[in-house]
Amino acid sequence: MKLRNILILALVLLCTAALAGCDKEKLPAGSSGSEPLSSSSSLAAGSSSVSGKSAGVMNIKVYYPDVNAVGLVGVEKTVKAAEADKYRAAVEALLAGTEDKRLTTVFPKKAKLLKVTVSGDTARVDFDKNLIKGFVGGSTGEEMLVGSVVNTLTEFPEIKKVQLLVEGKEIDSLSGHLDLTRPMTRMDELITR
Amino acid sequence: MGIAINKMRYLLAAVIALTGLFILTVSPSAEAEAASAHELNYFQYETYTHEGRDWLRIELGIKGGRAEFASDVRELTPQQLHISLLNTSRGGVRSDIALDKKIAKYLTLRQTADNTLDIMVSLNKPVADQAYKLYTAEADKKGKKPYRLVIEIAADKLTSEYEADGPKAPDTLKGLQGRRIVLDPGHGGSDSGARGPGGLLEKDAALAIAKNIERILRSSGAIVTMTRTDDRDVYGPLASDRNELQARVDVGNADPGNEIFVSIHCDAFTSPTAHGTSAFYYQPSFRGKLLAESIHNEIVAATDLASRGAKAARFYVLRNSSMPATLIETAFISNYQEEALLGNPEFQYKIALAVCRGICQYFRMR
Ligand SMILES: [Zn+2]
Repeated sequence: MKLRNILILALVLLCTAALAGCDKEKLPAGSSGSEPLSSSSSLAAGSSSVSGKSAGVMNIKVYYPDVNAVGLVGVEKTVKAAEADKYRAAVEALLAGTEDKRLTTVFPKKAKLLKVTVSGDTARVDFDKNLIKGFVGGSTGEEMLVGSVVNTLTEFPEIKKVQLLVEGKEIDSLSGHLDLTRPMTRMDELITR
Repeated sequence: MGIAINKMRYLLAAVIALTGLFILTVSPSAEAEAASAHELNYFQYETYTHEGRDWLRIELGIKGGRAEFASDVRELTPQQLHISLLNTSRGGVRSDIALDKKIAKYLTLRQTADNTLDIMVSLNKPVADQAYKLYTAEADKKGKKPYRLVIEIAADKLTSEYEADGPKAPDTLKGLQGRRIVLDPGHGGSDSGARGPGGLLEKDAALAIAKNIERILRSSGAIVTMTRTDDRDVYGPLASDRNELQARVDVGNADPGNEIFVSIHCDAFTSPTAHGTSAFYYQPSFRGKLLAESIHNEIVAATDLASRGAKAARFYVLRNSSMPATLIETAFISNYQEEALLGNPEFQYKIALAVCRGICQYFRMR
């Protein structure tokens, strides 16, 4: 009996270690192997794969605001990314914008994604300081920016919440409207299509 | 803003005391912008002396009937008087025109986004020190003049006119006696909030509107608490957003007798076409929703702003106030036309009065 318990415990520990290992693979430091195929604009991340897994093609849904900021519109995109890099690929596709003239982007041009990490059901998305420095402000601007990140990432069923960070630190708000002191759950109320 | 001159007396004097007259004939533009409902078709200016005072009168003919206009003076260019003519194209009138030099130097006409024509008159002194008035004049068949926008500028400003600029007695509304209301002018101090294309700052427009609301509420017998009454941070300069926003919430929550929290902001977006007015509430608060809807409906009724609706949002001050709370996004400071409105004292008062009517409506329905 005792031996069996120990064996089970060892198995559980092994699995946890393996899972933790997987988690680490989801944290590509610096570069990643993601590239949207349907977008002509090249990504800053480049195309060198460091994840050790071969890049696959996947369909994702990215949310962009319309030009009048009435709401967010989901756009199907095809990206090439290793399984571990899919979250980063999705956010990079969001930053890259869309060619649809009815849609726009609310991200400051200079804002760069540093990394996306996932723990449990929460994605932590870290941008450089240009996210706040170059931000236009306004409740609507803030809702569109935060909503587009949150809704794009919560399209992955395993992601339920999103926490925004700037230069590694959690932020309380973007420009003094939204309460970002807690991770954000999906913002369905912003989706118009 | 306006100056008090008996109109009839003035018109008579204008005819008698004409000292200079310059007429520029203008041929209508061959390629009128199809999108504009109005087009300039006439321009003239003249100087005259009335009761020992020098005046400049500028007339701009407008084809296409009644045109809407708004005026503003920008903080960084106090000698420039801007008049926005909505939905109007320049037509055949020249874009840069020299004026009399004694009262005003020159005038420029610039087409901006959304078919607005920006008329800029560069004065010799700050606009605040030269009396002026704006009005439209009907077509004058005898004088062969079309329907016009008239800009009159005096060389100086009289003491009585400075006094007339001062605050008028605010409107008084019923049903607010003894009501305890917290007003939160958004941003302030080290945090400017959003910035309009013409340079107007959200913190300044929000404070101006909130101060008008405060005056109307107080004159109606309400007890008003302001989170700030001048250009400052509520918590302290360069504080974290959480400290700054919590400091505003704390001002309201400090007195359990306070009944509602109203935060005043200007909206912004990357695309300048985004426009309209909205009101926000925190979803779980039924009374917050009622408050937001009451105020929003009054703003839409009192102004020409497009309704973006009363909507639920997870905003810090709404989530953390211990009373029904709303955040009013008056209009888009990032939209050229709405920025001009937000910087206009008459509009600031108009929207403030609408907010107060909405507050009355809330207390009536609650
Ligand atoms: Zn604001």
